[in-house]
Amino acid sequence: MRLLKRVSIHRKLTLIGLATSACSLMLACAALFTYEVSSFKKAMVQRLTTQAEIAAFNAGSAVLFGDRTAAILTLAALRSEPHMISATIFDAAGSIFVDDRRVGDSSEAIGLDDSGDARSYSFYENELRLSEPILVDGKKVGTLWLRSDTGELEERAANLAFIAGLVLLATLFIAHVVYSKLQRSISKPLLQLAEQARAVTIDKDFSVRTHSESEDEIGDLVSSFNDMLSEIERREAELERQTRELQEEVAARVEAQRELAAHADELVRSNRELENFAYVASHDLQEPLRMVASYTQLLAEEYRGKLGEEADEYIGFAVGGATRMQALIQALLAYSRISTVDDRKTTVDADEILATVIGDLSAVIAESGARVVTHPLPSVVTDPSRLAQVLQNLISNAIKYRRGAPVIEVDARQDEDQWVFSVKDNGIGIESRYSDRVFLMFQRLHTQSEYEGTGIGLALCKRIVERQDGKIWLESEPGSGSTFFFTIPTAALDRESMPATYPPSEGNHAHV
Amino acid sequence: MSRVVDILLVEDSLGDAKLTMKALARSTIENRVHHVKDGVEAVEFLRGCPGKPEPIHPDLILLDLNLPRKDGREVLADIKADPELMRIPVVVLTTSRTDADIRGSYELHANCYVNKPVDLQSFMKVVSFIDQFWFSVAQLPEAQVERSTS
Repeated sequence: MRLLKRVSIHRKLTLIGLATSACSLMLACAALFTYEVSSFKKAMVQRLTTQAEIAAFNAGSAVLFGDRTAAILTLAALRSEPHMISATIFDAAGSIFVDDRRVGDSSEAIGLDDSGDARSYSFYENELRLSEPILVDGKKVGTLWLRSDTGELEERAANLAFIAGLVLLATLFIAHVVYSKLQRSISKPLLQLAEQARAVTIDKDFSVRTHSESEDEIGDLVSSFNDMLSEIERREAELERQTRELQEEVAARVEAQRELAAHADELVRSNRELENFAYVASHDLQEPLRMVASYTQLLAEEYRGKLGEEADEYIGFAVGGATRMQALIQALLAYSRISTVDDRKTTVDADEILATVIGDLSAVIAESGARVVTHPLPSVVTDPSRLAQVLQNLISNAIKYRRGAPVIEVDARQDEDQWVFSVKDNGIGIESRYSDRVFLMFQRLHTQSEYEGTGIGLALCKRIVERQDGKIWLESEPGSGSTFFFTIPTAALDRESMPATYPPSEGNHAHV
Repeated sequence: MSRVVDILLVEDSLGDAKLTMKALARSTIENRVHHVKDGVEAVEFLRGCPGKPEPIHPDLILLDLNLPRKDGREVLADIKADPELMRIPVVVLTTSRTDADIRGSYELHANCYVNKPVDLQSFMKVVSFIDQFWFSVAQLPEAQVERSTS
């Protein structure tokens, strides 16, 4: 059976057909043979019985009267039968009355199965044995014992077998031819289907198709397989299309991202260039301006009163203009330095910074008679010089835009994740419609003759605060003062560097 | 204070040079200012060249950083690498305020770094401070003073 597994379907079908034919034919032959043999046997028995009946009838009186000669004659008539082996007549007592034996089988008469009055026969080895009762007036007087050989039967059987063998061979040959032809209608589409499946799995070629004219199950199978392939082909194409679309989309996105990154780089670069430009420009502007300012001052110093009053006034204007422009350029430089010079963030004690700022402003504070009220300030993570710049600008502004003796209050409170610093004054205040404008560069609410200034201070503060992720704003009541607020995030550098509890509660003051 | 000190001023801007000289002229210390306009001239002045008979070793050098031909930084490096010249105090006097310039100058062993003040009065004051400090407060090697007075 294992061998069969490797045999192609083509062979298998032929083999199946041949085996079936052979089996059925052999069965038919066997049946015919059996029937033929049994009917021949029956005919043999019939013929022998007829002969026995005639002989028994003829021998009846001879046995009754003990006439052996007449009995021998009767047997002699039987001898003419070519297959007769022996004929024996037994008397009623069962002893041999007459015997007609052929040469060579003299001692075989023994073994009579005297079955009484009934006739009996049996096939024994190659013989048919028959015992026929000899009746005279219904009374048994002896028994006729016949032995006939069955050579005729064997001969016939051999002939039959020979013919059956010939028929079998001829049939198998014809069957082979017929099956070879017939099975093709089954195996051919199947083999094609197998070939197609191989093409699909190995070459990934979904376009191959098998054609079958038959409308049976194989036809169905082929068309189903074709349908399946069409479906796979369709899906494959769809999948390929989607993959291509996805790839295109990915490529487009990558490209877009690259462009975006390039733009961002470009933006950073141009921004840096712009800041550099502002820095370099204002730095280089300073050089010639220093010349103008220095020499007009020298002129004013060395030639005052020598060139006339008008000349002195002109020189005065030139000196004033140059000085103001110097202040502007200085402020612009300071402003651009905020982004050209990186912040150096560290944990700083705002109290110390404030003390330094107040120290730096001591001359102005003394001159204006200002009072600076300070509350405890926290430690924050920021660039100390930037924080100082912001505080200094706000406090100077508070002093500059004063209304009477300035009182300035500096405080800080924690609001969620940020510190809110406040610088409160009792100065002239700012109308609410200007509360955004004051933080823009060169935006001033007063003339130079009213209040001197560059218009950069608050813009600088805003820039510093916003670069450190804070906010700056103001609340003001014109005529009664302004409060500037700015925030510093508490999580700017490292939460652990923050004081755990601030402001310290009154009872927790360390006694140093 | 009877001796006359020699000061080499390396400055490409005539205006600045004039102002500096004006400030030095007001000084109580008698001085001779030698003005050169670029780095190459400065080195020639200090080391001498075929055209000049003898190089002069000044008592103080006022050096601007941004100079044509040879940069002030290179001049400073040359001076501080020359055993003959390295003792002469070099004051870098420039408009630059950048950290890089300040740190760089000190790394090249500048003796001090001074910003040119933008205001005339301050400028005069600063030059006079330099003058006062190096010739009245600071002690300079004897040989140098002797040779310059001879």
